[in-house]
Amino acid sequence: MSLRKHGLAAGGLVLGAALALTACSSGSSGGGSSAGTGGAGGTFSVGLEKFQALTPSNCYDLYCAQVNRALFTGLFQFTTDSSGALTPTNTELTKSLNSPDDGKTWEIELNPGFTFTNGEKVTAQTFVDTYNYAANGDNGQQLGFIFGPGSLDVQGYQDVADGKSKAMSGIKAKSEYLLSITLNAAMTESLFKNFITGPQILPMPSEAFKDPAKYEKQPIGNGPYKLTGPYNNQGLSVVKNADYAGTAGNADQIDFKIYADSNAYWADLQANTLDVTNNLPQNALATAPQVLGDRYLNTPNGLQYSFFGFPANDPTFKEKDVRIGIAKSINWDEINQKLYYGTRQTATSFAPSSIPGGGQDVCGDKCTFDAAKAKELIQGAGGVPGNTVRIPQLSNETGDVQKAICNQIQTNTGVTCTVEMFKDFGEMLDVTQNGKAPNGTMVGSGWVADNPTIQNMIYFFWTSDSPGNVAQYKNPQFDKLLKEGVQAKSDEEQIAKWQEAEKVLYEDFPGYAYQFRNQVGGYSTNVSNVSISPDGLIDLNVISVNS
Amino acid sequence: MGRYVVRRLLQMIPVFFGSTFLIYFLMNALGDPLNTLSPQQRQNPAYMEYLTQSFNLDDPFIVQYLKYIWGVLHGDFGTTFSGESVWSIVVERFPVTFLLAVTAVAIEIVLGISIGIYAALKRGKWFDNVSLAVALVFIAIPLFVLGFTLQWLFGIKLGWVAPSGIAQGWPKSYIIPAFVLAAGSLAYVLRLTRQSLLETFNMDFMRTAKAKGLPSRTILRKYGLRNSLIPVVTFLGIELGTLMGGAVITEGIFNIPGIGQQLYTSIRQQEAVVVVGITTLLIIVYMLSSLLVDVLYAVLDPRIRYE
Repeated sequence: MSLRKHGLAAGGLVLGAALALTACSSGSSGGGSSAGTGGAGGTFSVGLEKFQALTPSNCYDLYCAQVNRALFTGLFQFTTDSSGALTPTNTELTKSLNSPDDGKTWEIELNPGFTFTNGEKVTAQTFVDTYNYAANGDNGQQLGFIFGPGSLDVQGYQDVADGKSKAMSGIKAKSEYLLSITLNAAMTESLFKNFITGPQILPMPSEAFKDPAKYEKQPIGNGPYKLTGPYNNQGLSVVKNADYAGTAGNADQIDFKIYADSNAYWADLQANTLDVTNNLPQNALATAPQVLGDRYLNTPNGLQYSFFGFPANDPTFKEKDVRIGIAKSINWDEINQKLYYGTRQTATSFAPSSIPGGGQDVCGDKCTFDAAKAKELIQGAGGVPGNTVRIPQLSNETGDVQKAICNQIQTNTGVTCTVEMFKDFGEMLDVTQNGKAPNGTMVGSGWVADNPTIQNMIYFFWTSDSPGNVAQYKNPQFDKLLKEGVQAKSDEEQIAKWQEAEKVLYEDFPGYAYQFRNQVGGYSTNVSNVSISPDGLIDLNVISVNS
Repeated sequence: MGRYVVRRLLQMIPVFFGSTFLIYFLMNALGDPLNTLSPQQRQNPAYMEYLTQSFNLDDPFIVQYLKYIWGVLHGDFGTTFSGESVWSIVVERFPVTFLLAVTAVAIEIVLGISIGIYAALKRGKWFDNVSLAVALVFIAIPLFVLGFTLQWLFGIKLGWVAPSGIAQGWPKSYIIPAFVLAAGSLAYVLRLTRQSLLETFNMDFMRTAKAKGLPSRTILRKYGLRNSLIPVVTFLGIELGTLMGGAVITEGIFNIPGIGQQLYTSIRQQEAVVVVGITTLLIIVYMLSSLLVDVLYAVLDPRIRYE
């Protein structure tokens, strides 16, 4: 039985949560069209997996993010620009964003008129309170880190995180509708917006802080829809918020159904008892295009990749040609077609084209499948010590992909290939960092971007002091370039630095991204105008119910 | 009889401690639950620290267990990592699984016993042979194959019921999953009823009853069934407990928000308190149902006495 979420690639995501950009982005691509043009009104259903929490400051997976985009309106949202890249833009709540001192202090002016559904006004103080609640370590909120070092790095964050203070000195309400955020170091406008938008902490009313447990069950938002009651394990329903100050959604009601097994989504979608899903089980991918026709969604360039790494403490991978040889011996195009039915793309860098500056062929020849060359490289380097490589598999994966990879490595290079099981990413980290893995064990995992920047795609697994540096890659030049990019004064300089850092990474070749995931889903005959944004979320507002 | 029941109830106390300890120990042996956090979640040291503190992950195993038991004895069953109370999860999910299991047992009783009786009466005829063959097929089909097939047939192809979820309520949402859950045992109940009834038919008292000239209906009801159903009742009583624990796969296929589904998720996420809470509850249900069976024994067969 596969009671598991997405069929992930080798070393795929360690999914307690598939993390996403928490934002209200727009489905600017327009999406698939289908017969029947419904206007406003009606009810449709959306399939989800159980989210960890709905409370905005604790919402760090795709599923709560999807619900919250109906319940809340934040400061910024990710929209797709003409080049297909995601960029953060103002929502209807945000009037303007300015920095009086070249990027150290940011002033956000809010549009008045937005209220929570309990009548409380959304003001600058709302954000001050929400942010301080999120950052406070005693509250155990998952998104508090966005104010910390490595992200926004707001003045006074550390004291609040440690529970020594209740308020970050850097966040202030200068007037009723003017929010001011002071950082420890200046950054560009686009980077500031990226950090604050993904993952985004949506505004919470003061009621939320008085009784967090009660709020969690039925969050009060300021968005186009509001909950009809507390959620339970079957799901939740939202109806139009009549007092919403922004642009209203098309449908009158949206029912979110919670699924524990993606096979059940598929069954319900085929029976038309589920209207919209951005999750299809692996075994449905082969037939879904035929069954659903133009109601099948397969959007490339999702902000998710899978990668392999060669641990630096393993002598097996000491020779760079061995590492390149292994990479060149795997035919990803074939695997993506045969096992994933075209719902994955072979990666040539860590950043897909939906990221500004992404979509480049950074890997070049190293990632191009060439069996003869692969064998030649490995032999030229004196062969693989021990003549064995081990491909990582996590306990929530079926192992089909690992088998395919191993077959290719073995056939194309003659090197013995086996699968090494890990319970989860944490165990993989522990085992490989302490040198407890047998020689020849490769590492791997997946990443779902927090925000569309090259930096976010690579910093966690590859910077020297990162807790996620599973391959133990250390190169001060790489760290420096990444940091210089963060401190850059212009977007061009920033992207150039990060692209350079990525080049260094591929030059050293401690590992590589092998696959980008498409956003896959489908919808029933009851609805139209459904599309999935590269961040994995569906724009619910524009969906219309067929009459 | 009263003393017997009290003694049996007292026996549950050591079982409670033993089972909670064992399950807690097994969950602990899986390693650090913080390891199950995704790479993204690991980037927040303050959150990791919060989890370590609130779930006593720094303490030695035995201290963790004692703290947990202390909480349970004070009515605090703990929370999941995301802060949901285990008690509220159980309260919300337990009735769903219970209803599913009861429906499954009802199907076993109605179909299993009636077909079994008819097969016994028509021993060696075509009905007997066909029911035996069908029973064997149901035993042989893996649960999930039957589950997906029936889901496709009734949910997608025919559209009689929603393929998943419990939104349509009882019986519509429960009948197909309950049948899938019951299928394997249904065949067993059928065979058991038939076999047991046939054995009873050969008893002396049955011949006497026939010789007295009683109508065959009365013989079957008063003498045949009452004597032959004891093993069936035993089986069905235990079955309720077994089905509740075994509903994991069925609840997965049909997306039924019961405790099986939760148990599966929580084992994956190594949420020891949830797993221990649910499993202990299942054990108690199992023990209570087997106690009920033993008491029913005495009612069905006055020859059985408990001291």
